[in-house]
Amino acid sequence: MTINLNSLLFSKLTEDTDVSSFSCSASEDLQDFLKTDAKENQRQKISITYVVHSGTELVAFFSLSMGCIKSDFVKKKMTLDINDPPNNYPALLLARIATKDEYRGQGIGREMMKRVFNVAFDLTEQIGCRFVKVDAKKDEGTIRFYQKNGSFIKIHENSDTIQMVVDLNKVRNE
Amino acid sequence: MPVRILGVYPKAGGQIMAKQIELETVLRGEEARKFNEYVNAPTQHFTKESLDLFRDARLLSTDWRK
Repeated sequence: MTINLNSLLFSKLTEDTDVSSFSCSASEDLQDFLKTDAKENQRQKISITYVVHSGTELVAFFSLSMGCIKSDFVKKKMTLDINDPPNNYPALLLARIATKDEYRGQGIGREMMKRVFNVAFDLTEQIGCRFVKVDAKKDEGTIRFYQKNGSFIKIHENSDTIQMVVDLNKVRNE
Repeated sequence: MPVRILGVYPKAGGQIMAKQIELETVLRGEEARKFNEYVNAPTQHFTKESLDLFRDARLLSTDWRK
């Protein structure tokens, strides 16, 4: 089904948002998250979910939370240098992102990523936020999506996901 | 090890929760070294496609968040 990207409506998930028709066969986890956890997580202030509608149909969503990256990197020299980088970095965590099956491959994901960075750039100015971080599925298509839409790089791998980040420190000056 | 928050996967009554959100990533050894390299020069990884996306993101109004 072809979609007009200019007609997409982005809004915050509410208690009244009907999520029952959302399907994502690529990942049952994403589908389950929206249907069973997203509203509760929002009540608990664990994550905020934004939904994307085309007309009255919910076609995509993404969820944001705050995360952290800890790095134990230390320079080989044993002096305390005031210019040593911090090893704890605040990050905006893109906790979930998904597009409904029949609307995939039309650019809705990229439109969502613009909103993710729209939030991230504000955070970098308001509370401090150095990175955008995502837990990506171990899937070449997914990894390419993040490389293409934000120049994310891989930093860590779990049994089922790959953590990818993009450093926001220099982005605003590009 | 990444920290997981929020309870367990199965909910009371048999309903299945999605995988929990992992907030923290801890990097050690070689991963930490590579990460430090990246932090020192992140812009060399930026593609034109991503820079276009960043520009569009900056130009968006914030009304959509309501």
